[in-house]
Amino acid sequence: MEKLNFLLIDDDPFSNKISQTLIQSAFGKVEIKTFTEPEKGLDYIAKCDELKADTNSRSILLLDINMPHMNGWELLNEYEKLDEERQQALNIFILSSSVDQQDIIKARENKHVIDFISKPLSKQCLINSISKID
Amino acid sequence: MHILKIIRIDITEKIFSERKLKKSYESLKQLALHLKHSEANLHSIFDNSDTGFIVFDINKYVVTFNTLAQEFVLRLLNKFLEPDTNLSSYFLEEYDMTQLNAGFDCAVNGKKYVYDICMNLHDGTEYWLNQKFFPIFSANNTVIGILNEITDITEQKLFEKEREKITEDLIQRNNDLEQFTYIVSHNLRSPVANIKGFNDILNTVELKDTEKNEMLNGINISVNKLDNVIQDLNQILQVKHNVNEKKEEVKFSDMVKTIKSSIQQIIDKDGVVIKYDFSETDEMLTLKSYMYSIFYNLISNSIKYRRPDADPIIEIQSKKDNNKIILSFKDNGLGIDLDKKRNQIFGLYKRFHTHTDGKGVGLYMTKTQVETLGGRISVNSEVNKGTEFIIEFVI
Repeated sequence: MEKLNFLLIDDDPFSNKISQTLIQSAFGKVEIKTFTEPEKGLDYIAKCDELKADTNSRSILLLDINMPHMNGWELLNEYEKLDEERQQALNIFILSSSVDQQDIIKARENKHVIDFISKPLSKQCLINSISKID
Repeated sequence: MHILKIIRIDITEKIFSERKLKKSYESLKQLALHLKHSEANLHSIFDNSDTGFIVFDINKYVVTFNTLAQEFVLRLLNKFLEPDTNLSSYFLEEYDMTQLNAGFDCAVNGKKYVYDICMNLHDGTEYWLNQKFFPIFSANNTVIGILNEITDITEQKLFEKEREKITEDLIQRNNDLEQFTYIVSHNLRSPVANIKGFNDILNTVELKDTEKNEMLNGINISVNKLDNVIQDLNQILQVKHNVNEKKEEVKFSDMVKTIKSSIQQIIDKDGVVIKYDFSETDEMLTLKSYMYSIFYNLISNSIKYRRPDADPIIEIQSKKDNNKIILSFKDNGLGIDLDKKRNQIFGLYKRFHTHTDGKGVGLYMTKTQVETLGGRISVNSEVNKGTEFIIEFVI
């Protein structure tokens, strides 16, 4: 099986803790990077060398929407400005507590987003989502 | 014989012409009667119309007018309309005649002119009139006079104003509701989602004792957070129902002094300077608790979001402009990037700085309170220069 890398961007540390615990429980010891400040997360995406297309690993971003300074949509706008290679290397899921239909539609319409996951993340949901990556 | 004959002829003609004359006299009489009737009819229309009419000659002298026009002039200008008087004799020298003159000029040149004007009665109530000026043409198409039509549109204008106010209120309420949906969707949902998440993990994942405690602690904190959000919501909803409190004369300078002494420790510690100038107006009839809360929130915000390299300076000023009291709160703090955040600045749970604790409730509450008192709040700001909040109350 190929290697999985996880990137969590969410200002809520509890939500990150839940995701981390479930990811480890489902996939064992995988690499998980956590950012509570979206700007730093974006910076990591823009600069990290491991995030270039690699057939042996998959990078998955779980992105929150409602964050101060820079929300998930704003981060996606900045992400779009990065070079193609980087964009292809990252598989993005929105992970939000929002039950607002507008947010869900907006997420599903965004070409960079694979799916909208409603918080809290669960093991089953995590496995289903990963299987959606082609 | 011959003479007699002539006489006979003459009489015949005379009788004929007399008959003719009588006939035409009769028809003239009939015509006069008709005219009288139709004049009476016209007069009754003229006098019972709900439009005031004044006919002027082209030199602005009154020719004739109806009862309603007389009533308008008496009520608004406190004068009786009289024929052969000039228009200008009805107005005080300082009265702005621009539109009236424009109306006349237009009509003298053969065109119609219409405008609405608001006049104030002696007791200060607004009185709205619709003024129309029409040219009166002679048979050979020259303008021989001006017809001025005056209609009372006060009720219609007040109705329009009322309708605008209702529309504005509805938009405001709609925005409030949207804001609430947003809160339910995000701020209530997020601690609930965490509790659910921790709970699921506790039930399905094998954990060490330290990890278990971590999850339990997470549940504990999330429950408290949920409770806080519910209390915030309660507080916000209460603001909207508390308007029945009694209004009283509030002195701005006293309010600032009270707030200063209540936060004296912070002022001393952070070197805060609060300057105020209420020389133009220092008093307002309002709800004291709201006004206090507005002042307190804006002052404490300025201190909380100060620049690390400069002691906070807060300048508060009041101004009086016609029927408005304008308050300005200006600081030299961090400022807010309005190009990006203008729409969010008064939003609930919106935060712009993360280095200090804050819930994102203060400015939302301030806006709600200002609006409950019938005012408006606006903001100017520049990053790293400072922020100015301007509040306008109509009195």
